[in-house]
Amino acid sequence: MELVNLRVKKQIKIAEDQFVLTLNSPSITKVAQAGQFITIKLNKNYDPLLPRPFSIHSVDRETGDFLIYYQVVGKTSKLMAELEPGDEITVLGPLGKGFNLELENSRALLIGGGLGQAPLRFLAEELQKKNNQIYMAIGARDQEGLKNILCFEESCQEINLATQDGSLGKEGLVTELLPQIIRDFNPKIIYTCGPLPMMAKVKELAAQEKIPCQVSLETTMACGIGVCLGCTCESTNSEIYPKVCTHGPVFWAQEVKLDG
Amino acid sequence: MGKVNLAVDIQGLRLDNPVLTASGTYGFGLEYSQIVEVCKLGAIVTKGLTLEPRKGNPGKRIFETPAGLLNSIGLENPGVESFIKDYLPQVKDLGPKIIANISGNTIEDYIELAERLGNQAGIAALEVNISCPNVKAGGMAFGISPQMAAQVTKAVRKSTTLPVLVKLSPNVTDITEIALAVEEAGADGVSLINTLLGMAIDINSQKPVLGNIVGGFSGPAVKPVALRAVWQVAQKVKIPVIGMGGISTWQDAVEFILAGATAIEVGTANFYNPQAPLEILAGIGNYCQERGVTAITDLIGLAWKER
Repeated sequence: MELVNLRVKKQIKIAEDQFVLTLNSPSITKVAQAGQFITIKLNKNYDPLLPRPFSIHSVDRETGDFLIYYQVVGKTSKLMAELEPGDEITVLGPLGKGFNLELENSRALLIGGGLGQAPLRFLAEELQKKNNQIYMAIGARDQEGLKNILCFEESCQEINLATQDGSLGKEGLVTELLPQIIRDFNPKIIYTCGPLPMMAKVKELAAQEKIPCQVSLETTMACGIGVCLGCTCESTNSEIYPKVCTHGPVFWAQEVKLDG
Repeated sequence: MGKVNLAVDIQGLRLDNPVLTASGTYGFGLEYSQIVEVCKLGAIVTKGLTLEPRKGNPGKRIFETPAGLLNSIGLENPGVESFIKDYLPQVKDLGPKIIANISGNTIEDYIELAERLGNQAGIAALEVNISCPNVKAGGMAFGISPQMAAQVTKAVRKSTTLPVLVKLSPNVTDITEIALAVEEAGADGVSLINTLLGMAIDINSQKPVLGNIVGGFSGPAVKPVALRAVWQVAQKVKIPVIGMGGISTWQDAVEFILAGATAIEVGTANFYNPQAPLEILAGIGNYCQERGVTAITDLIGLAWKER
């Protein structure tokens, strides 16, 4: 990990309140693993006070570029949306434990809900390099939440979509698509990132089918490096509260409670 | 213009400079040593240590407010034995003096912690936490009564030859009363302030945000309260005062020194600017140089001392 000031290279508006930010740091992209995150502190102001964590959306190890896909939800992301090329921000990373990438010449199912899609692109790109077949299932509230799905086209064999309002893909929750996909595709591993209820359902289905499953958690953090001990989740097999920043953000599904 | 002498002496605890990192905001220094030149710090104050390992509080532990941070970590730590065995060998090689912050449920706990840590190479002083707002037993209970605070201090004082600092709670009617009581009981210094008791409520769930309901409030928002406490205490006690509470910049640090602090601790600022302690160190050096101050100790309490 390193603490660096980086200049914004590019910012693209994907949809209403959704952006992809391009930053450049050859040293970060060189070591970054799919599922890891960075924190961003925009300026020296005290409100917002703390840096915010963002998963790494994709890296280009040749150019040193890496992408952050984010949605405007709070003070920091609102200010981030105003960033322009050349603006300087402070980045700490890469942080945390990424996805397990042992799978080779096999089949992986990736399930994203809302902005939970963000780390799955990097994951899909890494899995593809290991000659895996990848199926995606992405759910969102409406079609606005599915405006970035083209980024998965190169790495994935099939992309299944669901929206709660039925404006794109199947109407309903993405988890409703899963029994059929699992039957047809027979994945050897499942990865998921998104709202807790969605991940809890994925965990349940994966357990039923005895498929290993990894979940990527998100929570409030202060330091991002395991010092403040603030970003806990609940373990299923230990008295200790795991820290999302260092023990995660990626966990094996059976290791953590997902009931909020 | 010669070099400014930044060294300070807290009753035998000699520090190369007065910039310390506060307990609970720096772990044992190992994580930040990967991105910060921690060897330049005056000292590192460890995460609060207890006799037994503590798993900390359940539920949500941190919440940001405008210019502030609420936490209810609940003294999660590996316990003193694991600290000595698994961490101290690396920690003592980081460079700065290591001050062990200790916390107990009973006076006996504090005595045992002081004895256990007192004979460890690499521990330069103890900071006795009698002000943690996030644990049920002990913690702040010792820090809100002058008699109890004095008892703990006296017991620790007798149990170790190390310099003993006592960390005071701001959640009292008159902090100078507690400060005088621990001075009388043999403390070598007082550090203040610990966090202010606070809370937040989620208007969607209509429940408290923190799992522990209340938590300790820190960050830039508390600085004026902390500065006032240092100002008051420094004028009452003869022992050195270590000031903290929202210090984020060298200007903040200079204010605390002018208010009477011999040294300062940087806490929450580490989270939003890991370079803050070193920026503060450089800044106070420049400040002294520009004003022709040759020793940082000449600045202590200048805001109230008659000149």
